Amino acid sequence: MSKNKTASKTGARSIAQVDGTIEGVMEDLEGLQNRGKGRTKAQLRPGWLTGVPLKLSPVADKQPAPYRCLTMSQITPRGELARRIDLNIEHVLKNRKGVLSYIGWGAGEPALLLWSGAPFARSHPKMRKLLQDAVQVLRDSPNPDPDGQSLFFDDFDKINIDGHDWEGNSGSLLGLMAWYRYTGDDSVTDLMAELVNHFDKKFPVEKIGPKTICAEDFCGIVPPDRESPVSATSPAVDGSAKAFGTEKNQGDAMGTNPPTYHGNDGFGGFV
Amino acid sequence: MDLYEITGQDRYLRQALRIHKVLLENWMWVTGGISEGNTCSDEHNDEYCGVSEWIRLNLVLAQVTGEARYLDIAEHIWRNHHGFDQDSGGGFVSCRSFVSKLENKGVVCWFCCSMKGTKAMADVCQHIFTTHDKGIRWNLLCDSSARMTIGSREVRLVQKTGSNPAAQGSLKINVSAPTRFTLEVRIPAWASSASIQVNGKAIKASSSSGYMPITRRWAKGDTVSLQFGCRLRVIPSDETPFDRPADAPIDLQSLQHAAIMYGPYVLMIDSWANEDLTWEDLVVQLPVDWEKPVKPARADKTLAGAFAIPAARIEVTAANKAGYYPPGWDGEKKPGSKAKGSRRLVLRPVSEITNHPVKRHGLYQVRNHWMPWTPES
Repeated sequence: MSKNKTASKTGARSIAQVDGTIEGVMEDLEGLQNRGKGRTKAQLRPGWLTGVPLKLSPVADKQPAPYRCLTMSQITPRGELARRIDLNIEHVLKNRKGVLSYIGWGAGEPALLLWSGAPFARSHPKMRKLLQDAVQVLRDSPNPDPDGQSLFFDDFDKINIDGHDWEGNSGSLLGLMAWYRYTGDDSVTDLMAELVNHFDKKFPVEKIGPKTICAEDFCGIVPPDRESPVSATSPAVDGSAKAFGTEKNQGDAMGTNPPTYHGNDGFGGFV
Repeated sequence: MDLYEITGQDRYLRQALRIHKVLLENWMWVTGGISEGNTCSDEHNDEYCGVSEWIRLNLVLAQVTGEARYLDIAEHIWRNHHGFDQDSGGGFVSCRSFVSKLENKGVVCWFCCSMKGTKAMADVCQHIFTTHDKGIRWNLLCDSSARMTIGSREVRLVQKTGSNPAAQGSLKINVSAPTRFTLEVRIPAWASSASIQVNGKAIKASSSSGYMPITRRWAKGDTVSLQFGCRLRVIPSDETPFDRPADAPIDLQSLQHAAIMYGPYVLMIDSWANEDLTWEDLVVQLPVDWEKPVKPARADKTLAGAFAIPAARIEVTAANKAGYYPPGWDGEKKPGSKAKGSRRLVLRPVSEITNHPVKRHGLYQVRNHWMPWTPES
């Protein structure tokens, strides 16, 4: 597991400039990893998500959508919304120790903190510091896989494919992407690449389906053309309460999340 | 949606639209929230995680499709259930219930929902304005300032809202040099009317697909003023707030249960202002003249400034089966009960009620008794 590695700021293209395909992403990740880190191309296992696109470039001026939204550096909320944001961030800062140490969903909480707080990284210095701490937590994940490759909880086989390990890891990748996107901090790209390796090993797309990389996009709902390989607790896309099982969802290995009747990957899933 | 944006493959958009349809028609409450587990539409507990994603999905669909109706939904969630779920301490909750009897105030999920709130509010901020090749879209009335580039010119915007932040606003435009572009002003579906002025002069422009385009050569200091008409609306329990135009007639006599909105705000009964009512027996006499404009709210000193929404403090006539009957009430009266005449019933926007920072039992809680307006008519 890498710690405190800082990628070179020269050489490879910025991840924010890749073309959005997995080939492009892998090319960039390879470039980033191969820069002074002693990594080999083989370690990246570029076949892990062949043909499945991955988004890394949602910066405002690159958005393909016809209507582009603003970045947080372009917009300053005021009035009631600003007060609600300030109060919320104050609340998050107040609970920072808990968030950074509570890892009930794998490394989910620090990752969620990164994902959600990254837009405010520039406007709220204290939030930026907190997010930097979250990155460090992900680097120093307390429960690495014995083979030294994976970063986070490895209880995949202990519970089920719906387990929080998946959420923690996918959430971590999204969180790091968000942090990179909003701050340009390319020191996290090595960590992202390691997550790619982890996914390849533990969460092959053949087994997981597109949920592996697009949890946020699908909000945990199983694509309509798939018989759920992902979860016995996910609702069917037609809205029917399909197989909301109680047997398979046994809670996570730490016992921090007791079994629930709906699991944690419904529409309310956090990644 | 991200996959659709990157690949341009329609199947991803179709999939998102299917999910959206299911959520809107089957799972969304009148406040815009969705249930915690999505196991059934009548589940009463919510979870802000899902609400935040629901806001986000609508914002992104609006961004990708350009259709204003998604912003109508996003605004509805934001102005109602979003506020409903934000605890007075700033965090966001899970398992907050709509059932007054359960007194379920939810749990502030500092480890999850609270951070989802952070993201959702950032998402809302980022969609207050959007840009496109021809200019700017003004999507949401919300106090803010923004800067962007149109062509080669930098444009700075300062938006201020009025006493009703959802219905009154102005936008000051500052450009480094006179620049021609189109400002598209969103006309929300809930608005019963819309008045737009540029530098104090009313403009005549036709709205299209929820937006009113204003194309002109904008100069430094130009100001656009907006005023949307708010009125009381009845939302039947089997409809969403978006099923019919704001000015569509409705047969009140046929209603069994309904919600009441004022502009974009879903109203709830203020239990503290109506403490002596027995909620189980509440009967509401709907106002006869729904066209009559409602006076703007007066300031409520009991509300903290952070959460005071000076929108609707609506007073309508209510009755309790056990004793109160409005004038002319011809409904069933319990044998032996004593009619004492009508009384005024105070309603507030749902987000305002929920965030009342009342410290009770050592905790900041939502009010003990509150409920969506479900009159028996």
